[in-house]
Amino acid sequence: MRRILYVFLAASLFGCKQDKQSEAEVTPSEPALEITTTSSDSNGNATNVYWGDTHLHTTLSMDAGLFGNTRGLDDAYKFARGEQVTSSTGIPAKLSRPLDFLVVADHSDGMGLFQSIQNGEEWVMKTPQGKRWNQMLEKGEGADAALELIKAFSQKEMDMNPNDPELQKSVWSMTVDAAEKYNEPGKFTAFIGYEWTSLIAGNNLHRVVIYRDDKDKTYNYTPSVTYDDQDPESLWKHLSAYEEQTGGKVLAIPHNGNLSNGIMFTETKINGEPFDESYVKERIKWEPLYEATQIKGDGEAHPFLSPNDEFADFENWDYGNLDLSALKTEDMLQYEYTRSALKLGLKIKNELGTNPYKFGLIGSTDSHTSLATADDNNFFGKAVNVEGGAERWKHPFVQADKGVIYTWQTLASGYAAVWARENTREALWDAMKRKETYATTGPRMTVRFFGGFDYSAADLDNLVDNGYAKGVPMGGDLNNASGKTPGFMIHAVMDPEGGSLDRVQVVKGWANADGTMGEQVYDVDWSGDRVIEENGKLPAVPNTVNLKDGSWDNTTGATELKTFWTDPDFDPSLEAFYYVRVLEIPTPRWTLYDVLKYNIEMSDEVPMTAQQRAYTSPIWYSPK
Amino acid sequence: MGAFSMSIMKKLFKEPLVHFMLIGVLIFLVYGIVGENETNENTIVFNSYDLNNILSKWELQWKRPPTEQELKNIIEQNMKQELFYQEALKMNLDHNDEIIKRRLSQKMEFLSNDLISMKPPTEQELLEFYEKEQQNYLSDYIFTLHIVTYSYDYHEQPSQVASTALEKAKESELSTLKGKGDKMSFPDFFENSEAIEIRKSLGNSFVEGLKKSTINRWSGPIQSGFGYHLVFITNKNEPRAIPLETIEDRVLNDYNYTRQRQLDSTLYMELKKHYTFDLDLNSKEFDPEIIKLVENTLTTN
Repeated sequence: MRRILYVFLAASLFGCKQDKQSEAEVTPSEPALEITTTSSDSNGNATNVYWGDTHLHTTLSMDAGLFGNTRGLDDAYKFARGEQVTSSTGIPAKLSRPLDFLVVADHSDGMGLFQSIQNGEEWVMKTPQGKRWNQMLEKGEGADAALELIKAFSQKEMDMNPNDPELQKSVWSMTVDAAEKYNEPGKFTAFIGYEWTSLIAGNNLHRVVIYRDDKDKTYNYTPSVTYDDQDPESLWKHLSAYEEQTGGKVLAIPHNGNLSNGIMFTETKINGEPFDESYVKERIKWEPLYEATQIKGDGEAHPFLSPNDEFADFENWDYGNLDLSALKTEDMLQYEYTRSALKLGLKIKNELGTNPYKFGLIGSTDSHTSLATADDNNFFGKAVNVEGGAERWKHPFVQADKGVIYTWQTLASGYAAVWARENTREALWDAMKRKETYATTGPRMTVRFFGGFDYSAADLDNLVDNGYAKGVPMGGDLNNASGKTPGFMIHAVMDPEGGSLDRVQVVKGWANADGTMGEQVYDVDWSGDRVIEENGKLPAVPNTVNLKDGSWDNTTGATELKTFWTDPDFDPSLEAFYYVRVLEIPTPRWTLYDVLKYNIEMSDEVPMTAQQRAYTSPIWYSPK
Repeated sequence: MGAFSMSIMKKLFKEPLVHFMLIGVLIFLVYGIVGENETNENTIVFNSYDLNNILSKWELQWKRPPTEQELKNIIEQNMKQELFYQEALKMNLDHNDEIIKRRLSQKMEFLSNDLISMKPPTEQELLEFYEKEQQNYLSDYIFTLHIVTYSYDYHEQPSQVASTALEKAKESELSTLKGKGDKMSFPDFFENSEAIEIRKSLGNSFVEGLKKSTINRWSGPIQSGFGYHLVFITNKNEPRAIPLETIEDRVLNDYNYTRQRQLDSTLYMELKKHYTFDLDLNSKEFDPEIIKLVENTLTTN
């Protein structure tokens, strides 16, 4: 027996395969045909929108591994590029359309640790936790082990070093090599990056770090970890040192302020000291973008903060912090949501001269399945234990003494849209840095947004050229009105695979001289012949979703909305921002697709439809 | 450390000398020349490789060389581990240990994985793979076309409007409909564009419709999220094989990806054939369905 085994091994590994003489009959492709790819107009302005996920986890993230993710870097990239792969639970998976870029953002803390626990490596097994988790894995209780691990990590109760330097180096090299392998300038961008997973007693301060650079600069620079220092200042120091030592460029994108219990967008440093000029400058230097929507809740606005905005109540997670070790109180909300942070930034600018929260917006998945899915009809869930199945909706996503968040509350969201000249690391990264980006909750609607003092409605005919020539795109600045009023050109086109458009809104925020702040949402263009009612509200678009078969009627919305809008309440003396929110008509939520697919019933509290949406980066106005 | 030792293994496997030695060892095993442990069982070799290994691991962690005392301690630690390990083996403590089983089985997997990078495919093998997976290495459809759109925004029944317009038009004349219809955000003319670019603007179903349309005449209506379209395609290139030399890196990646999975499963299937599974399940304890499932799983390849 033993001999047979060895013979087979040797044969299969070193076997001299007989050189079969197959006549190589590959049809040569015809003479190179000029393929037209428009990437920039004659002025070099960004004319292409590129779609991607800046926040995807593979099996190398310790929690993903514990949850049962067996899919690695290859699968993540192949899937994002539009190829079919098999999910960890054996389901064939393919995107409806490929993505243009991907950031594999595995947690730097404990990168590869799961594999060490699974293998029962000695240094892990020496610790009571390591032994316990290893045994839980043996018994098939990986998901519970994952939750315990996340909790122990977030509460700083790990009794092993999750960041063993040897382990870190080897896993980082795999990460970088895979990005190099799949990066194909002009076709598909694979960014080198990771997630910096800072939690302060369960309060989420996570950031995704994205390099502009290739392997030559990043390979020997292992990621910053948070186990010993959770203060974002330590990350900024690390990023700064990277740029100084290598001449490279890097940025960081925070996410899930909604799970930070009031510490994502504070008015003081994390250690409680008052802000100073250098601190606020560092913050905006390294963090030009915010991930406003993802699987763990939408973070654009909250109804408590924006009671007059009937669309603010959208897929909010406001129960507590990340591990539900502390519940939410209303006073925390203002420091957690996109809109209030943008306002707060203006107020701080009045005080210190710099706006620390002058960020643009993107959406991403934060999926832990290696599959970047944000389409409701093709949603593989947050983690492998809820990739599919009739029961997934009622599976507890976070379960703690203080509460439960169920899987039905997770949302199939979102993607990052980037306006750039070409699909390369450099061009996309530069566009992120200048904030020419927007967030969507999944659908790929095309959104243009320009601001300036010299536009007129006639400029809409040649919107892009005029937009750049006479003003600034999303992410840009307008200064010193000198007697003029800012005007905005907006053009939103539906995702041809998604719902048509209900309306386009401009969200304005400002800071008054007395330290108070204000906000206003304007309906600026909408489908059909609806008129604004006496209460100032545009009537809702009808919900046409057929709950029996998941169909809906796109004719109730518009295929595109294009408008020129000037601010009727402009005060040239106040710092302000304007961003665009685009709403689709109601379409099926992933929960409805599950109901139909598995022929099940869900409890009444579970929403079956949603109005998918896009949020652009703001354009800022400053009197100076 | 799994990942670490994996990368060391990879490095080692790239050394020609190591190849040679490994092959040698395997041949030894194949011909069963290795006897039952003829060397002195109580000899432990500690060579320069071991010492280097200890030193470099220390330096990686502490960013400095160890002091004399520290070095002495790690050597003692390593020796203790090695001696305990040897004794444990003699006492058969490794038998039926779940962790050791898992680890060793994983090492088999690593072995097959690493052999992939150790033995790159020959040109012939790569070519065969490329031919076999030809459907993955085709160029995209390429179209040159004019589009006339009847949008939901401007028509109650855009499909009827489109059909009527097509009936009235001279199908073979581009000029009869060119420039008609609604002004849309996407171009009304694509010149030698890959289907993926058109999909980005007009969606999947529109492109599926294009693939079925005849060229050099107005045809449709084709539905998309925007409404209904009439199209005049003047050039349609069907997918063709992309020459191997222009995508060699990609094919090589795919080859390794597929080979790793194949080798792993062939190895498993092949080994399964060489083992007999003696089922000893209490039929009172289990459902006959379950027993049948176990039987099938263990005996079928």
